Amino acid sequence: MIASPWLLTLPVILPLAFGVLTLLFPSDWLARTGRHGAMLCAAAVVPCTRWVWQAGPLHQSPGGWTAPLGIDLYLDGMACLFLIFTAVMGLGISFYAAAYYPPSPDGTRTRNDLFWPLWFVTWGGIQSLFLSQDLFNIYVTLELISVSGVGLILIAGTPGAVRAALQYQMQALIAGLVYLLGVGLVYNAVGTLDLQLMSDQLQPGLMKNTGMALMTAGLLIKAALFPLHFWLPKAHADATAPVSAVLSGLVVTVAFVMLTRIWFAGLHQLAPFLLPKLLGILGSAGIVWGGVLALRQHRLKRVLAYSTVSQVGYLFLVFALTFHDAPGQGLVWTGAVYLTISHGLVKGAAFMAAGYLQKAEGTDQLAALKGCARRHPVAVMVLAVASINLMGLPPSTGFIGKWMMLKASFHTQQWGLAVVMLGGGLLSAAYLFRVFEQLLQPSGPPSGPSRGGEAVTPLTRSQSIWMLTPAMLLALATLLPVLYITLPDALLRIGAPLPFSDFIRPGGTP
Amino acid sequence: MTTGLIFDIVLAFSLVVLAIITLRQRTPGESVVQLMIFGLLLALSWLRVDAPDLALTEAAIGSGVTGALLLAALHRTGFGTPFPSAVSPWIRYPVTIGCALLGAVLSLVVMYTWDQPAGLTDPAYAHLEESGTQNPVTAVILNYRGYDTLLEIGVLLVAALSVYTLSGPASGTPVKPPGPIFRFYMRVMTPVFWLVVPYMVWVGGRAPGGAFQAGALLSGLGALTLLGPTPWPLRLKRRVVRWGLSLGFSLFLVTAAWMWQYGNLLAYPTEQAATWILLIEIACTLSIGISLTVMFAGCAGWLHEDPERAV
Amino acid sequence: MPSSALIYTLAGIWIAVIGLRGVLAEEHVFRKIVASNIFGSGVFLVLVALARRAPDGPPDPVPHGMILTGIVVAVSATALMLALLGHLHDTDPDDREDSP
Repeated sequence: MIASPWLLTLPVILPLAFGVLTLLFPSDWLARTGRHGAMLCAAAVVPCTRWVWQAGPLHQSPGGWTAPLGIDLYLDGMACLFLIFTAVMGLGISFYAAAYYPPSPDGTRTRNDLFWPLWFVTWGGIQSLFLSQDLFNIYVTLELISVSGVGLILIAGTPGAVRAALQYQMQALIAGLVYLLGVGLVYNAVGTLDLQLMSDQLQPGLMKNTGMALMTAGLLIKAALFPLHFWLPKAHADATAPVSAVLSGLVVTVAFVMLTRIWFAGLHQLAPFLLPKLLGILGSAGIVWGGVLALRQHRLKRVLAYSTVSQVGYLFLVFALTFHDAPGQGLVWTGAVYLTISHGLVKGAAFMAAGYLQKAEGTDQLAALKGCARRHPVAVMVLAVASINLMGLPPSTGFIGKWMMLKASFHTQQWGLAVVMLGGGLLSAAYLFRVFEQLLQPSGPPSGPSRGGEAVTPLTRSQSIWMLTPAMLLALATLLPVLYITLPDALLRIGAPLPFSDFIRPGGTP
Repeated sequence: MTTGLIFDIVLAFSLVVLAIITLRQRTPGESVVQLMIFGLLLALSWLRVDAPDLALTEAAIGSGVTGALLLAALHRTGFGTPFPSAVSPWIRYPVTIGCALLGAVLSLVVMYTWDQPAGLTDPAYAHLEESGTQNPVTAVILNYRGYDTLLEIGVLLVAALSVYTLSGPASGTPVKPPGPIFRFYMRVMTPVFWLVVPYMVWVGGRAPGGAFQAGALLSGLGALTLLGPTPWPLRLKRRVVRWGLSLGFSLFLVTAAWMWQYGNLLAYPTEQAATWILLIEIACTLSIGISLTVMFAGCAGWLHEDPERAV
Repeated sequence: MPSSALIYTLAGIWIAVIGLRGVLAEEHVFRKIVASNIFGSGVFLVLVALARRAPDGPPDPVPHGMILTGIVVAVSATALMLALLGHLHDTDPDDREDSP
């Protein structure tokens, strides 16, 4: 079977093309173009999935030159799974945003209309990143995603958003340059920029290791691992809700996924005891720090943003849990992937619900949202479903991921990490219950601008439906894993660098 | 100890000292001037390591355009307001020591592993004939690794759009009308710009030059026009600006997709490679020139929210 | 006898480190932006000089391509940050820290 030439590049080109189209189209076409474009871009992932399922991993080279001189794109099971994840999130966010941003009354363009080109370009960049196999290509796509992320934050227009965007851009630039310096050193040590060719060269070297250390440092900043997470909370909280969903749901995962790719390509040899332990310590600190700070926030979106910091800490525990070479390593990686995807889906849904509440009530201050569960039961339901996942309660995929990682920590006898994970679960329960305590009050002050929020235009019924349905669907997707739990597992095993767990076997033991 | 080596040592040392001096200036205006001098000397150093394309680009973009952008921003925030007092010593000393350690470690690593070269020089030159151009850097950017260039033009578009979201209040900061020296300069230099930009694109196939340098020159022309007696680009309808911004990127995207029929995205058939590269170079030049000009206007605060103009 | 490429690589490392120190240790955003430019220039100089490691023959064109792209990306980021800085100066000069 020969793969069509557009198989791997269509998921990248199509969103970029829609980015240009939504820049040029008149304002009243944008919502419809956004929805249809999202459906097309999501559909572009289907041929990739079929190929991987039937024929295994695939290499393609845009430009016609293969590595090492050219750039290779690589599609394996994990990349395919993340492409599907992006497609699902993209659909949800696009439909939500089409309802969230009100069309301007007289058809003139507003700042909100720039959401669509920036969002589609971000989508294209993310797809391109998941398929990427080339170190410098990773740099360019990371910068693309960051700069369009800055633009997305700026749509809010408030001085707080501008400040957050400035900090975000500075972080992205510096992290990117640190990463680039690392890439330069690695290239000069191994003579190639391709991850596969690099992993074939097993001998460690001083320049290569230094370069990889720098690359890791850059990616850790971009992944917002404690203590390099300072730029994240304001950026995610002060943006408009669809943007927060994009940033916390999608963008946060990309740096972590790239780090795992580089891990298998040679990073795991860098400092076999020091680096995983360091990542484990920083991850644990992130879990605790994010949780504690989330308890102190007064605004719903800030709570969710600090929750993201905490969940990112969980992801980094995977490095600490695999270095023992104990049996069951695959279990941990599967758990981490489950955790990444479920967090993305659920955080996106939570921000969508928070955005809905903010639009309906005029503010997202927790004190002002007292008792709004009566008025907006569906939105609070979405938040409740999201919380089940964030807390790691069964039967959510969040529980499955955390359980796999807990099991691995027992296998490798790292009791400290197990304690931190369980403690983190308790912390998330604490800050989420605090939120619900406000929302579920029997009665509250009447809504309206008298509460110090922005002026509220009541939401139309169709607007509410279009905003809440995607949110609910995304959140429920993580609650009904029994329907599809074997699919991600089977996908992950295609082309995987080490055997992932076989979840279908009874007991789930490797 | 050849003369060249002595020159290199002096230049390298001066660069490091200049970097320190730039960051110790007291006012923003002074630091910008130092940065531009630093950029020009850096371009000189890149000539010494046989990177003329990069030297051109650094002089044009790194020193020229960046300097213009910094000055445009200072036009709003003030050239002469001195920087506030320094950060607390609890932060300053550990950071300085940490960075110095990092520098020492990296220097030692580089010196220790210096004699093990590895790289892609040979394959790059081996395929140069089929690449459609004689300039190896152009071949790398626009043929072997054209996909990266496509994404990078996307970065430019998105950065210009992000600046675009920040339309300021309608008043903006007024500019003094240009004096006779500036008007004379514009009269003489505008035709020169219009000649040099296409030449740069053309000569990039054979010698140092190409789309990036030409694009930087084009943005220089754009910035000068905005400062000139009739800043007509500012009076363009926003719709025109949007179309202009997307022009380069869409051209690149369409060309790239057209190649799907030849085997893959951006895979030029060998006989036609030179033509396609030229087409894409034109797209990149337009994109760089227009995007940087829009960003220059944004830094200066000239993207107004004028209700009479359609956005 | 060190080659000129080695000299410039070392210079690049120290320029980058000076710029990085400036980004981390300076408060004023404009100075941070200038420092980030210096950091970028240092990184680019390291890459370019490393491309010239082989004493004879042409330099390696692949890092040259990388740096051309890097320069464009860095200038886009700088322009964006400067526009944000100017915008903040015009619309919200006194730094009102919003409450958690």
